[in-house]
Amino acid sequence: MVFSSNIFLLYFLPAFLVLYFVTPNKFRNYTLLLASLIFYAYGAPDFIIQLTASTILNFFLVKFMCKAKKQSVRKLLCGISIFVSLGLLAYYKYGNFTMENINAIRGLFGSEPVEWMKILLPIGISFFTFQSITYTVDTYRGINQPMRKLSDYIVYIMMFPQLIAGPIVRYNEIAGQIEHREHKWSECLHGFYRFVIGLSKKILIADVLGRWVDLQLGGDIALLDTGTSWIVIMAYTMQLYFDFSGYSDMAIGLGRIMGFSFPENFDNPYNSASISEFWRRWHITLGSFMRNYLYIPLGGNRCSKPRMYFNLWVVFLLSGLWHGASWNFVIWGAYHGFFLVMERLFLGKVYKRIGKFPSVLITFILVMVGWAIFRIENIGDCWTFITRLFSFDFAAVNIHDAQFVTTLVVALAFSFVALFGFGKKVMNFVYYTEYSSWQHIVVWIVAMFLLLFSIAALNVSSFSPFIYFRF
Amino acid sequence: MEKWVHRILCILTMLVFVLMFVQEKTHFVSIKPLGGVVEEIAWPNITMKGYADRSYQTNLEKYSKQQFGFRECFIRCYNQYLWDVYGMSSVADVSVGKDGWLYEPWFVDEYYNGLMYKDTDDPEFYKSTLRQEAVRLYKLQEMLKSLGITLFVMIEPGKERVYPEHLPDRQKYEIEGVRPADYYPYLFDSLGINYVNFSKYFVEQKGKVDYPLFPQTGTHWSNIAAAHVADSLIRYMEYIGDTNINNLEIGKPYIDSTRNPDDDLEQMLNLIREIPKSPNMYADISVVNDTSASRPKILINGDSFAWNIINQVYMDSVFSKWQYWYYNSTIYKNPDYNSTSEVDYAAELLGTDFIVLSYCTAMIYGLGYGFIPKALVHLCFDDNQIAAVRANIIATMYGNEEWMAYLRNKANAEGRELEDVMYDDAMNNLYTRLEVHFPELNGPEIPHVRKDIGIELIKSNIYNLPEWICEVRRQAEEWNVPLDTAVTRNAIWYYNQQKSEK
Repeated sequence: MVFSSNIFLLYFLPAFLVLYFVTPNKFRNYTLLLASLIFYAYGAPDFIIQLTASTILNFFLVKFMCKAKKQSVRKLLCGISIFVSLGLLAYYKYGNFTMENINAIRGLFGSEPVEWMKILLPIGISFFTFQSITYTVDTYRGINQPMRKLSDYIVYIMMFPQLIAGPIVRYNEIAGQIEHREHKWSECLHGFYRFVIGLSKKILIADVLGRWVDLQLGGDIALLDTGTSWIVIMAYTMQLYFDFSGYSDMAIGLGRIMGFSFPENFDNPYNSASISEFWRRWHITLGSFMRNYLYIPLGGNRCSKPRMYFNLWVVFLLSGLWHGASWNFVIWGAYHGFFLVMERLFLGKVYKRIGKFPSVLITFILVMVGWAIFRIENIGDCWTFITRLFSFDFAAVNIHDAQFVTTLVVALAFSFVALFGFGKKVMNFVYYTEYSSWQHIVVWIVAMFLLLFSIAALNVSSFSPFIYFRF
Repeated sequence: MEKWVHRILCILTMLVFVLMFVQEKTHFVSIKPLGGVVEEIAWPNITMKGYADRSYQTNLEKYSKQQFGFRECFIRCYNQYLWDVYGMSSVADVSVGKDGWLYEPWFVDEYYNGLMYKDTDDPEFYKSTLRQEAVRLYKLQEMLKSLGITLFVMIEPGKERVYPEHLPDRQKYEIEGVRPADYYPYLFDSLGINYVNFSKYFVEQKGKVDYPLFPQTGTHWSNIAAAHVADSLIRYMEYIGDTNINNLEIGKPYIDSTRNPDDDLEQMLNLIREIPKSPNMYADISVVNDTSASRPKILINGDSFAWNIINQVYMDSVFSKWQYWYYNSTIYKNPDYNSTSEVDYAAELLGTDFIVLSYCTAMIYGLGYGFIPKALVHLCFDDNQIAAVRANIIATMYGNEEWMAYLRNKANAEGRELEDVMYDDAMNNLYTRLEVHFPELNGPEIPHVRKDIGIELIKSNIYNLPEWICEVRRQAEEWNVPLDTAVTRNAIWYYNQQKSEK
């Protein structure tokens, strides 16, 4: 079940909210647990049992780990817990990829391919795995005590707002809220506004851009002229941001309605003046996870420079692979890793010298080219597209889709508005200000209009898959 | 105070969802239904299989998209927004042209030479396909002519040809292609096939007549233009069939806002407000009764343009029998059959005087939509001969693993028995490759009508010709046999004679 579907918006969510708020406070986690199980069972019927079983197993592994007196036993149980979580991810997400590559290598030596059954990728497995790992590691490190109740742990892992596409909520960020949180009417309203912002970003911007991008990239890429190619990749850049950040907004909004405070996942990433900054603003919770659970354990910055560069590359290669089991994602990770190393070597100094706006522009262009690698899975097609970007073949660009053009302009304006003081003020007001009664009334009217308008758009157009749905 | 505002707003939010739900279940607010036709999605029954393969979830979402409360208002509002702000439509089957003109997308493709690309990228191959169909048509025309039946093609105009200045730029592309509506007339001229080209005529008449030839927001020719076409059509039939038929009298054009506004495309857009456009014009039509006129039987095989003629002209006053084979599929105005899949082709064709293949510029690529090969086969071969060929094809299927795999997949996908799918595919193969399966139809000669039909036809001629029946009556007395036996013997002899002469 995706958030931008009728079943979720018109039936599941209202029914859940009524039930949730009718339930006495101390039993609300059970309502949330039940709803999350239904939510997941509806969308991934063939995976719900494995997911629940591995969650229960992990709960007890961590429980035993904390009770163990010997450090070696604790270490062993921690390792088993991480191995189980990563094992599931490896099997479901990378099984097909591994076998395809093994068969490709066997083919080079003239051997027959190994036959195997294609494995279906369960939705949300990447987020599920990372949250399980944060629970195990944070508890192992002694940052938090393990959950007392199994049901609370399942709520943490499987809570429907963030299970499918994040944000990745670290255990130490939410441990207290699961056991005790406040429910306020004003928070419900803010959560509702945030949810509507996310829904509108997804349906009114990302989907409109996505339709056009798919149409262009669905044809012969070699026939695209340079101007159109840049518009395509710019549109995809915006589509991806509004799609993914829209989903995060919806998750954060839903969490807020239920009294949770989920971490922010995006902070105007296209306003970044370097790739390093981009990764502090884009998918923040993934960056934070990678830093805390991979980069720092590898040695982080506290090692020799060559080792640090190696660590960075490893982190970004794995980060790329986390986004999808395909070589283009690995290349995309390596591409970002390369620029991160370059920035530490010399590029960072160049950015400082040329000033903020040129740096933002260069970074934006680098990010866009990166998204081309991300979007076009076939390496040959991807290369063709990138050569089209730089072929300087400027034919007359004919875009007759006025809705697309307007949406792209609006998306660009929203993406860069925070570069200016005025835009930052507006964003702070929308996201982080406590409203007065009158402000609430006005914002509620706007939010309700956007909600109804999004429902209308969703039902007029049948195109509404999430890009990040299967990550 | 603040807390109350928060509470009220939260409750109002929930109330919106509740209202939508109540409307879905009770329809307590009466709303004008949406225009256009959609496939109704039934409430999906949950099964373990459907749940596991997610088809249940998909169908439930589709069902909800059709049923949720106030759906009509949501769709109309969003469509109006698209129309007002961007001049766009969300409906795939409507192309928004300039100045508020609407077209069906395939008519726009027709104009820009793109129609052939749904079949092939090769113009020469496409031409050869059209030529093959035209040659078949010529043979059918000549064969029917020998049976006293007149066959002709009517090329209906497409709006894109008459009003190209309003075509949308977004569908414009420069492409080399063959336009069937241009290539068929060339073939008809070179082969000697009867046809009347109203597409060309409409382009010539544009700006010369005092009524619109097409409505701004509709697909088909205007009612008044269709009436004039009907009149011209009757005159053409008189000319080509060398007969006298009751003509039509068409009055002066007038505006009538109470009648069907001819805005089917606009209806599909489902807007809140009507698109501003000039009013539709109509004319009173009457049949001029001529006592010396004949009322022939006519079979129209055509697309939806024919409705504007059938619905206006007093068909029963002009024709003694008429039937309409819509895209050679559904049959209207035939008391015995509803579909061409049930029809006895030979009997129906022989029971008519005129056969019209009536298709517009954007639809003529499928000329007859299977009518021509079917008619040829059923006029030339009896059921036993057809069954033998079909059996051969089915035997070939069994020996071809690839073909069988395709058929099994098709049967699975459509939830049908494999034998049924094989039967249909064999018949389809028989008609599409008829020159391969029936070598008699290959070559330039006009094929012979099958023996039983030929003999029956000669018998009828014998009975109708006083001199001939007199002679046969004398022979019957001489041979001491009943008259019908003598007539049959003569007919068989004459049929064989004709065949050997050819």
